Amino acid sequence: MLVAAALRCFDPHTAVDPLTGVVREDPHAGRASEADLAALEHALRLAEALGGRCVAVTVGGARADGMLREALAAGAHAVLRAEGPGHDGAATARTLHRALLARHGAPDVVVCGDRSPDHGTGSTPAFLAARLGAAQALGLLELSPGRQGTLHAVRRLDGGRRERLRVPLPAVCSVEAGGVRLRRAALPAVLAARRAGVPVLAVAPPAGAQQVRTVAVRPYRPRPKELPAVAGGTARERMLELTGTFVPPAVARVVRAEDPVLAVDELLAFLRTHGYLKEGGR
Amino acid sequence: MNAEYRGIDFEDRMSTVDFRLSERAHISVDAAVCRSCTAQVCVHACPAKLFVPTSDGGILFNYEQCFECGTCYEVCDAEGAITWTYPDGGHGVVFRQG
Ligand code: SF4
Ligand code: SF4
Repeated sequence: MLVAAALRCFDPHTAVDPLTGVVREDPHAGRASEADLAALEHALRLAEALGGRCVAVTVGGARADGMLREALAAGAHAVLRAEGPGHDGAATARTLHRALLARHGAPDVVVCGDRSPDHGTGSTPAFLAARLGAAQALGLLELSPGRQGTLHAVRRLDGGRRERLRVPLPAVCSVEAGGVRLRRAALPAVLAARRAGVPVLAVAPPAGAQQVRTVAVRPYRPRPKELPAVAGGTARERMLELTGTFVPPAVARVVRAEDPVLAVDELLAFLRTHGYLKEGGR
Repeated sequence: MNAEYRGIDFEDRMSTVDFRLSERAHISVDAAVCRSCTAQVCVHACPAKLFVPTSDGGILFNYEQCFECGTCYEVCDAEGAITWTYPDGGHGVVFRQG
């Protein structure tokens, strides 16, 4: 039984220079969001209850190492940092999936935070579930082992209601921040985690995938309409023709015929006058 | 008028441009000449509707929101009615789209 906690590392102290727009990042400041910490706690509890191993995994650079060492100190059996595409939910899920398969095999349960504070869309768990062919239960308040090899989950609904779910394995679950708090790590574990190495696995981007390419950047310019040239000898005549200066303005005519037959005659006469009907046509 | 041109809504047309107004009018209209003009083609021709006929047969003209298209100058055949120059540097019409 393998329980993976898929964490996202973000930098809460990212500073943007207001003049140049340069983003300054502290390489040591990466940490997990509250929802991800709750996900790690759920993963640790599930691994204990089901007699399995808990692996904390993330996609990111070296600044995620601190976050993974915190997971080790809290009791994760192993950690793994994948280096590869992670620009959106689909890419992150692919990188996580590849790294987990290569290092630990297919997980039985993956627990994620339901959102990340750095504009995460929360779509990674769904993409991951699709890749693993697993059931998904997202935005959970509670997650615990259920009967007959399933998980028991509780989800918040509108109006204070709760939804109870029986989630079959394998499963990908995302949890809200409020449900549980990550356990406090013991000092020896913290000290040991500081010295622990973080395994890194590079995942190559998909070969031959159709990437969106920016060909040119310029303001939107609607296509010009092709219009027939106007008749007229001089520029002035053509301009008068174009602007309709001597065309009498169309005046709306309101027909109030008392008899419907008269109204129809009126309409037919109008269509004939303007060439929509042949003379005598109906 | 060509039906295709008539389809453009006046508001849409005006929304495609910004105007940086100069204090000096780049078009001036001699109301005395206009009073004897019978055709008043400028009223129909100006896409920005800047020529307004008055009840006494004259013309009111406002150079603000002028597209600088030159149509009025081209269609008016009364000598000296319209004086047309370019706006001062940094002023005039600015296209918002494209
Ligand atoms: S500007 Fe020219 S066309 Fe318009 S009213 Fe004056 S004289 Fe006539
Ligand atoms: S230049 Fe064009 S927009 Fe300006 S007043 Fe003349 S017709 Fe109107």
